[in-house]
Amino acid sequence: MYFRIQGFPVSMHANSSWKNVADELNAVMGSLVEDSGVASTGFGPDVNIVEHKDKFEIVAELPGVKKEDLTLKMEKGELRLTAERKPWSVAENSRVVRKELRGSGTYVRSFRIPDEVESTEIGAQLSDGILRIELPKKRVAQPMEISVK
Amino acid sequence: MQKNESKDMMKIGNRALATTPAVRFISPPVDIYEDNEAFHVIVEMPGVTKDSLSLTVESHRLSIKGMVVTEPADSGNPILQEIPDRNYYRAFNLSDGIDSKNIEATLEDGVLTITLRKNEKLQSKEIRVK
Repeated sequence: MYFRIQGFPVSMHANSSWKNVADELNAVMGSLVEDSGVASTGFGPDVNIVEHKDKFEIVAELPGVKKEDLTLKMEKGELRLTAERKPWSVAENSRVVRKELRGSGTYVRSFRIPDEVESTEIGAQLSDGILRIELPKKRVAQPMEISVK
Repeated sequence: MQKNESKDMMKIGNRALATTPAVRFISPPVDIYEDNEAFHVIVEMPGVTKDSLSLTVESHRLSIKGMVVTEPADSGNPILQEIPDRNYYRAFNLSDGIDSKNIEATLEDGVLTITLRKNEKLQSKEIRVK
C-alpha cells in the first residue's frame, strides 16, 4: 500500500492554526514555515506531526477519501496534499434529517520540508480514512552515539 | 490449560493498561437522509477499522462504538497535535417503524454507512383516487 511521493521532502506549514506553531516548528525543524495561501481553495485536514529519532511522521484525517483521489506533490521544498472527497450517493427523492458532516469538497494542505529529510525516501499510506506520511531523516541528521576509547 | 488461560488474561490486562489511559470518547458527526424505504446514517470515524467497530441494537437503541488504534504517546516527540487521542461513541433511539432485524452497515475509508429499513408502518403509501 506504500507509494512514493515524487520529488523530495518536507518542513511544514499550512493554513490558520499553523501560524501559531510556526515559531515552534522553526525551532524544531530548523526551516521556514510560510503561509501557502491555500485556505481559500479548500478545507485543510487536521494533522498530527511527530518527530522520531530517524524520521518525521505526518498523520492526516481524510475520511471518505480514496487513494485515487489523493495527490501528494513535492515542489520547491514544499509538500502539497490535495484530496478530493466525492459526494456520497443519496437517492434523489431523499430528505435531509440531519447534516453535521462537512460534505464533499477538496482538502488542501501544504508542508515545507526541512533539509534533514531524505527526499527520495518519503512514503505514504492511506487506510481507514487516515493518511500517514513518513519522512525519513538523512543519516547525518540522526543522533549517533560516539564510543569513547 | 488453566495456566494458558491466566497467561492470556495477563496479556489482555497489560494491553488495556498500556493503551487506555484517558482516551476519551467523542461523538462522531453524522448525516442522516430519509427516503421512502429507509433512513441512511453516514458517520465519519477516521481510524476505525472493521475489527475495532461495534454496532449493537438493544431495546430500540442503536449504539455505535469505534476504537481508534493509536501508537503510544511516548513514541516520538509531538510537534503538532490537531487530532486528539480519541475513540468514538454515539447512540440513536430507533422508533417502532424501523425494522431492527434488518439493519445493514458498511465501513469504508473511515466512513460508516448504516441503512435502517422502515417497516410497512412507516412507509408512505400512495392512495389512489378513484
